[in-house]
Amino acid sequence: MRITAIAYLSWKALRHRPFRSLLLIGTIALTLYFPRALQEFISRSEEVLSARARSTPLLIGPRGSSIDLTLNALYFTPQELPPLDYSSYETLAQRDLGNTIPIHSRFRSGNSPIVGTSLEYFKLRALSIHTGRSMTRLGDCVIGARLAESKGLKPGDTITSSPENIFDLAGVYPLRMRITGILAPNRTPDDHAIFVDLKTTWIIEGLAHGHQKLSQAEIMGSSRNSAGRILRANASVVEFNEVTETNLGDFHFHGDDGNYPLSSVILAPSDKKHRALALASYQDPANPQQIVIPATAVEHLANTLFATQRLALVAFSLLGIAALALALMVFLLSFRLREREMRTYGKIGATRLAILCLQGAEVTIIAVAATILAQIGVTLTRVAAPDLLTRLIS
Amino acid sequence: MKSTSSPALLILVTVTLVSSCHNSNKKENLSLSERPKPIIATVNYPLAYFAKRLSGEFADILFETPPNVDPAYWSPTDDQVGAIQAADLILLNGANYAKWTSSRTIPYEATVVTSSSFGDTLIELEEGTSHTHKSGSTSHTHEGFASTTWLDLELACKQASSTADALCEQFPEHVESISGKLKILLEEMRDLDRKMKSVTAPLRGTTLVVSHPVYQYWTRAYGLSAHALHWEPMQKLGTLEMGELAAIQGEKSPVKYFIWEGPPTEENINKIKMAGFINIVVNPCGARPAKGDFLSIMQENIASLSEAITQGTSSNTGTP
Amino acid sequence: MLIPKFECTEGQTIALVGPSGCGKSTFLNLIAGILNPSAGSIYIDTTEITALSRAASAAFRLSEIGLIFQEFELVEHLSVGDNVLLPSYLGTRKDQTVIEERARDLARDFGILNYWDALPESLSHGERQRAAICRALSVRPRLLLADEPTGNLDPVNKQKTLELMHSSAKEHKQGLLVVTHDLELVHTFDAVIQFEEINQHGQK
Repeated sequence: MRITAIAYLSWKALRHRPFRSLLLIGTIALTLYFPRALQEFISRSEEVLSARARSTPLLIGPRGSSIDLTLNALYFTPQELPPLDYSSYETLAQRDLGNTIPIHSRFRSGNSPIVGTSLEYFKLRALSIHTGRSMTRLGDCVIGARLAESKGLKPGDTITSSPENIFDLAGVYPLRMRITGILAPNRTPDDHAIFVDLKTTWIIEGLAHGHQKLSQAEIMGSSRNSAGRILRANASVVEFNEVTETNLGDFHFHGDDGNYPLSSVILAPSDKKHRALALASYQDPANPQQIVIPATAVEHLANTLFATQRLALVAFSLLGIAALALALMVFLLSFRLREREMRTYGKIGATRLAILCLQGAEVTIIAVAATILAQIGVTLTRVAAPDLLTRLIS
Repeated sequence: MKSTSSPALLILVTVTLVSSCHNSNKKENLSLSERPKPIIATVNYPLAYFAKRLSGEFADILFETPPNVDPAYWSPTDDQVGAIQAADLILLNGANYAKWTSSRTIPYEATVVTSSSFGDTLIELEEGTSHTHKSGSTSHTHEGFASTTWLDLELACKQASSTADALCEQFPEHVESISGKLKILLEEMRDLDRKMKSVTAPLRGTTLVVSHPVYQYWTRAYGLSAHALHWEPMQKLGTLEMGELAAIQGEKSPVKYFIWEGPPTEENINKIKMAGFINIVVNPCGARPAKGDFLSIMQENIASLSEAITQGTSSNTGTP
Repeated sequence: MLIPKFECTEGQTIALVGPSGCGKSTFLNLIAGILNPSAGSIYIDTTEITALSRAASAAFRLSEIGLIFQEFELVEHLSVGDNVLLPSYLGTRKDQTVIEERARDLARDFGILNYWDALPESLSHGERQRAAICRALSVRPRLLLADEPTGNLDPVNKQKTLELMHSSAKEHKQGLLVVTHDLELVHTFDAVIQFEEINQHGQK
């Protein structure tokens, strides 16, 4: 019997029972997919986490969980640790140990993190502007490619920060920010973030604001509830919730900026000597700040992931064996039900081997289709892993 | 029974893979002479002058404030900020000069504060005085620190040295040239400093009136004492202003000299003269001068002072 | 069951009649090579099929013997065309195009070409039996064995079916052996073999 005939007759038999065939393909594909996808996802995640960590040589932040600090600085996860003082950043920058970059990532716009930083961050991460330009003033932002795509945003549009709670008790109020540029995609958490000047996050935090300069007469006669403006009931002074060219000069900061908050500081030492100096500076356990090597923190995280992976693989393997046994049973039952058909083949003149080949071909087609489907799934998982990881962590 | 094959799909995939190879040669490999000139951005004219003197032809200087605008209060456009962001080096004056730097985004690593070596000697302003320059326009406040540091020529030398240090760090291949040029520049500035000390010696112990509070470092450096008003050279001086001046005269005497930051109107000259003052123009030179350069402007200041003092010595009143 | 010497020449049509359980179907299966006799030999032309291996016997049956069953035994998930061509699929012959052309001609002759791409379930009993006959004839066998081919047909289709088998046998010089309970139709055959009832000892 020719191989093409075997394949054709088997294909016809499978096509005649599409639901059963697809169910078998789906079941076997999932059985093959899950363990491999998990391995692929973990492996790729480890690569991505490590790459991002390696590109962040040192991290300074408040003492506490190094993993929390690392994830907040690298993946902009919600801030769990208390803030750092801006003066810590100034002091560190003045020591001239290397490239010093402040990070303030407390706030969000919806699910997207707002990252207050300096222009040096973009150089560190090799981020380039794809459309528009970099931010130029308070209230400006550049956003990641995926965020722009998902919300249909472009330069010239605005995006507003989210209040931290509905009652706005902490003085954090929504700031409408001007989008000046969209970053080129880079398959990192930066694709989903909103980048602003550090001072802009302080405006969101309520440490700085801009308000209308009014004469006494104007204060007394101010109207309330003007569109787009917030009125204070007691002073009748209009605070701006957006920075424009007209009101830029009216924004001012209160208090000593040395006390202003940061989430962390990235330090890229200029050489090994400066790196050693930096590490040595934070060794005292009494120091309220810590220095973290992100690559080391991520390694611990990766080890945890791998341990979890082993457990999951055992579970998937057991499930897989059960699923494959069920699939085999479905095949055997199916062939039992088709005994008459096989007898007809035999009577017409098909040998036992030919009949076995026909049955084997059906199983093979299902298996191959399932394998291909599983492989497609694994490939897609590999490709989507960085974005999926970002979403899971963020 | 029909069999199909899809060689076309295979070819398409292959072509796609091949054509998606990155263009690795997008970055141009230019020789040193072909690379664009580095850019040095500054926030005021004196720093632009120092940078130009020290860099010579190997760099371009970016100082975009129009000549008729005070750089301290200039507000750049987005394009101008973008150009400054792209500069290889950004020289700041320090002492809260250039208010726009606190509300605009500029790269930290490329920025040098040229007054950081004498930060502990900055003059703190006693109180913020909010005022307007033209009636009805937006007011500003002089608060924080006095910022016209370069009027103290010794401090200007330090700022020039700081500029040279920044240039040497950024462009190490030009260290020798920069050092040589710095030496020459410092010699010229120290010479001016000596002349300024000499010409202002007769003013010590007298009270000067200055049209605007921008001479703090100059008066401190040269042992002078000045009362600052908030007048513009082109401003119409009315009863209120003249009354303010008279009060000063009554308060401290002998008062002989009125220092303008720019050439006043003829009317103002006469009014000041009638009030018993000798008019002198001492140009702070924060903005780019219409003609001349920083040193020639300082030279002109010295000449104006010398002439006025000569006039004042011979007579209590005179014309500038 | 004891079977005396038996002969069927090319083009000859023989009806096999007898009570149920007397061994008519068994006789056909022996000739087809599906069953092996405990003694004796069976020749088709010069080929002693009883001496062939199981695989060789199947291969011989595939190319030389056409089988027609009472229950039609069409493969339900294959189209009529695929059912007709099934023997060629199961075989190793390479002239598939020629075989397909011939099969379509047969289908046209038997009036089922319009159903070539249809599934058997959409055919009537008579059409299904004709499809089964086409399947049996598609490889131009030397011998046609039909086990109660008209058992499930109405009188009109019975007549038609037998006529088709006879004309094919005559045209292609095929031997035709038909097991039938329909004594009204036996007169159309060249010969009739009466099977006696077989007792429990295998003797008549």
